[in-house]
Amino acid sequence: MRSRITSSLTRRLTAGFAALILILAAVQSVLLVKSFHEYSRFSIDRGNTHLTNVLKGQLERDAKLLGQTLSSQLDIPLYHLDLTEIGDHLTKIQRTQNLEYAYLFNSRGTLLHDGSSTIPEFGLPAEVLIPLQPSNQLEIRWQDDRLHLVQPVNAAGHIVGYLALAVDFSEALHSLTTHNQELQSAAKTKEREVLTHLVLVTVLLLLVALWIVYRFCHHLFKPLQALAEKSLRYGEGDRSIRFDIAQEGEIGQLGRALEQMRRGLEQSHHQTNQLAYLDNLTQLPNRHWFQQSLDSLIKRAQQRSQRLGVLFIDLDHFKEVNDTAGHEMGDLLLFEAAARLRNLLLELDLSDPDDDEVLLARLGGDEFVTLYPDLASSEHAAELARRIAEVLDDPFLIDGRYFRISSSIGITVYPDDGITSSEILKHADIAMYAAKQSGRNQYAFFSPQMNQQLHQRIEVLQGVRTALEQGHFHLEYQPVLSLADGRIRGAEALLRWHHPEQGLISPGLFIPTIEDSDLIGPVTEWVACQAVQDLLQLQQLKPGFSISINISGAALHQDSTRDFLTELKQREQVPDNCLNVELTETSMIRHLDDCRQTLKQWKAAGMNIWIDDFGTGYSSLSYLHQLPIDGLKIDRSFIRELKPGSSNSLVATIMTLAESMNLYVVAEGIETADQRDCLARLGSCLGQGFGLHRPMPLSALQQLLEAENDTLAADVRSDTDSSAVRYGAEAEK
Amino acid sequence: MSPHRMDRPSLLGTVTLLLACCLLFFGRTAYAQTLVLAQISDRPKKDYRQLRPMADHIVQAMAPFGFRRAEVRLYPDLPAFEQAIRNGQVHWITETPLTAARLYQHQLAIPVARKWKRGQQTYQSLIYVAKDSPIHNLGDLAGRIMAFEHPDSFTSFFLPLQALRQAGMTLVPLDSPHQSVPADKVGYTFSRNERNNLLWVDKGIAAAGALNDGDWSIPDRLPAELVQRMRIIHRSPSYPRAFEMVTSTLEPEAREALQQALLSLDPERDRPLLQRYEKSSRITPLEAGDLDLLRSLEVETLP
Repeated sequence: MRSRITSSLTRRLTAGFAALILILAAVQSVLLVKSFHEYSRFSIDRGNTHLTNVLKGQLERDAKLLGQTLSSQLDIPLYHLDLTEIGDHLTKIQRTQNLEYAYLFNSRGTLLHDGSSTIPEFGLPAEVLIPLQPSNQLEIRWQDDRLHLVQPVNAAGHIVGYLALAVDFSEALHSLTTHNQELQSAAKTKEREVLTHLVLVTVLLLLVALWIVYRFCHHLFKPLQALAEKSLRYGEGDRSIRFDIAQEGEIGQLGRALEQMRRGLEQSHHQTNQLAYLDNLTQLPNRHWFQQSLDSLIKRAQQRSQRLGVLFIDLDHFKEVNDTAGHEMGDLLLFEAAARLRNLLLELDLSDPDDDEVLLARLGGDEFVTLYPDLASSEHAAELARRIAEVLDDPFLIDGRYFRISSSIGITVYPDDGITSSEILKHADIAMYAAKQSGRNQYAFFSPQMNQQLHQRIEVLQGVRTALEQGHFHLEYQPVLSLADGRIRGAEALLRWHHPEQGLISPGLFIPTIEDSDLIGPVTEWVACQAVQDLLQLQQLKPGFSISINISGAALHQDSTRDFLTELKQREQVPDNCLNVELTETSMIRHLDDCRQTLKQWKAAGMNIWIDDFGTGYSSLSYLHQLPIDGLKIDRSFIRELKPGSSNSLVATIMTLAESMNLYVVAEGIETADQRDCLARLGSCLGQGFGLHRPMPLSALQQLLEAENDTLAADVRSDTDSSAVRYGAEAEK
Repeated sequence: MSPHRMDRPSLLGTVTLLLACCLLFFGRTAYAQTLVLAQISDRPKKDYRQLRPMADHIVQAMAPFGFRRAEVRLYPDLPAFEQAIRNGQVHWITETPLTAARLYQHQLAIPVARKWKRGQQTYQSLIYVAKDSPIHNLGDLAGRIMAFEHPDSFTSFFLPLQALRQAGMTLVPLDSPHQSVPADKVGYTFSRNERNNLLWVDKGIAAAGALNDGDWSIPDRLPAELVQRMRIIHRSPSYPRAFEMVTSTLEPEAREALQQALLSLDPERDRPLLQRYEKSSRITPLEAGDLDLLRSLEVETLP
């Protein structure tokens, strides 16, 4: 195949050259033969013309000589009018020459003798008999192949008559034509001969030239062939190949270029290897390499009947670092985390000194994995997990800033939790997820239940997507009352999912799940849109009515959610202070600075900010002061503790605090009349709970408001000024 | 030569004998001369060829008279011929009656035999014109041109001239046939040969011509086509065709021998020889009246 490449090149070049030469030779030959033909025709014609002229000249001279001779013989007989002798002379030359006629005219130009015995035309004028007119000098004229001649006959200085001859030279001229034809046929024969020679010589020369060209090309392409063979061997994997050729010129250049390419290729190959097997950022082995390593370690563990621990590490809240501090910081943090893990493993010295199996790898994003070969006990894996958590728990100082992250670690053990590398890695991932779900900064061993939970979670997420698309979600509203006068001031929008098959699904089942997913954004936006539409309807019944929506921590930190709410408020022209946003302490405080910006924007847009479940977090009071908060919703756990007759100091303190900070308070989870009474005694506040109103559909709320309006209308007539605490927008106004 | 003298030979006798032998030798040698056959001729080449074989033949018979060789001599005119004869340069002559008559009358030669030249024993002169010619007799020729053959011709000059004179015509010689002729005379010119003579008449160059009857009647002598276009207006009497003559240069015995040699030629046996001798058919002895004829011809009247 290799030699075929170059030999075909040689053959093609030779064939091309042959074709070219053939065409040239053919053209040349045709031209040559044509030229030869034309030249021979030309020279034969010229020769023939010349010969004809010469012959005619000679014939003319002969005829003239004949005429002169005859006329000199005829002078005396003519003088004597000796017709007999004249006749003898004329007859004599008529016998010997191809005479058309021989006439002797007298000086008056009439015929004396025509060479016949009886001279029948005697006395006829010359013009009747001959084409020429007698004159005092020799007249000659060619007519076809005949030469006509009139010669004066002189005697004693006088013209005594005229001799007229016509000689038929057709034979001589015909023989000339024959000669010409013979010449032409000879020339034709010669032409063919020349053509044959030409073709033979051309073919011979062509063959010689082709042989030389073939040898030359062969010689020329030999290094090329060597290069081609080297290339093929290199392509087949022979890395010892070098392309340098000790030759100048284009081939040498090609060799050097190939060598340069080979070096580039080697370098590129090295880089590709690195890319393929190493993580670019941390220089740790990547998933691909790790998978191979895991396979071989599993195989070895299987052979040696050993156990193998797999620890799947995910950095908690790393996404927030990326979001808030930027990806460069995130990358630096990952790099540092990798270094810490590497150092830890070096310190622990878990690897078998006999081989270089990979024990630590970065699987992507903020996921790392370590292996624990020859695991004697699960406790060793747990110990390793704890050490890892410790190592990562230390704050990271990056670019002058401190970052705190934690880690969630899932642990699987071969062969207990799986026997294939992919299975055991997947289970470790699930265990990590479980650990993360159970509050982060933890480790967890895999259990089959985790698998089930994961399935549930996936089902939930899929269900939420479907519900969004097909309208399975709806909102219920739990009214918020002024405890002082029992009037409805607003309502908290609560998300409800009516599954077509499973019926009503508990919010506690799906809300935490979607909070950890990318579905939190769309769900939050749906809730906001629906709530605003409902709000606008409700405000027709009760101007100044307000609705609260819950924004989860995940949604709070998304710029899209922030801007969406702002734009929604403005687009729908919701009156100020009628749309409330409820946030938990925890979600706010995690990233205080960002949170402050968002809250300021919302506040500026005319929304009110409430802190939900107040008292369960660890928020500092100073935060409350720094943030544009409008009110607090006291967590139901505090309300539940309210007892008539006790001091109820905690709730009282909160209410006092709120009053001092000019914040409004909503008591959540009011279930009993006692609790309501207690609250009423503690001061003016708003309340919400099963004991007041259960969450209800929009229509029910509308009926409720209509009923209240009716009551209110009746009251207005009798009622004097009310001291009820005004809620929401009204309070502001 | 007596035997006695033979018995007594002497120096004188021996010398005398030698001298006699020498004389005899030289005498015989001087006597062994060339036999000369002569003729007047204006076509010497042709005539020489015609005469030579006969001369060579006859000389054999003349050997006893010292003739070892024969020679043909041709003379352009009569005076030259007669002078040669007077000088003894000619032995034998073959001529037509006109020249024969002149030589005979000038006593330069005598006839010894008749020659049937061209197969004719005798011949006559004819005067002819073109058939459509207005000339019907010799008198009509006045103011016309008459073509004769040759001034030495018997039948084509002498005889027609005589006839015209006898018819009362006056003849004037012309240099060429183109010359004009006085109305009362007959101009004449010479055509040089019989065919010219006929052609001239046929082509109108001459009004009439004169030829002998042999020319007229022997086929191929003249173009038959032309002859048929002619009309004869005069015929002369017949005369012997030609004579063989000898001069006085020959001894009488030699003359006799020559005559005998000629007469002994057999028409059958010697036909080729005779034929070549001016197409003669035979040679016969003179007839009675031949000498008178020669003597009576008025040759001196010729211009």
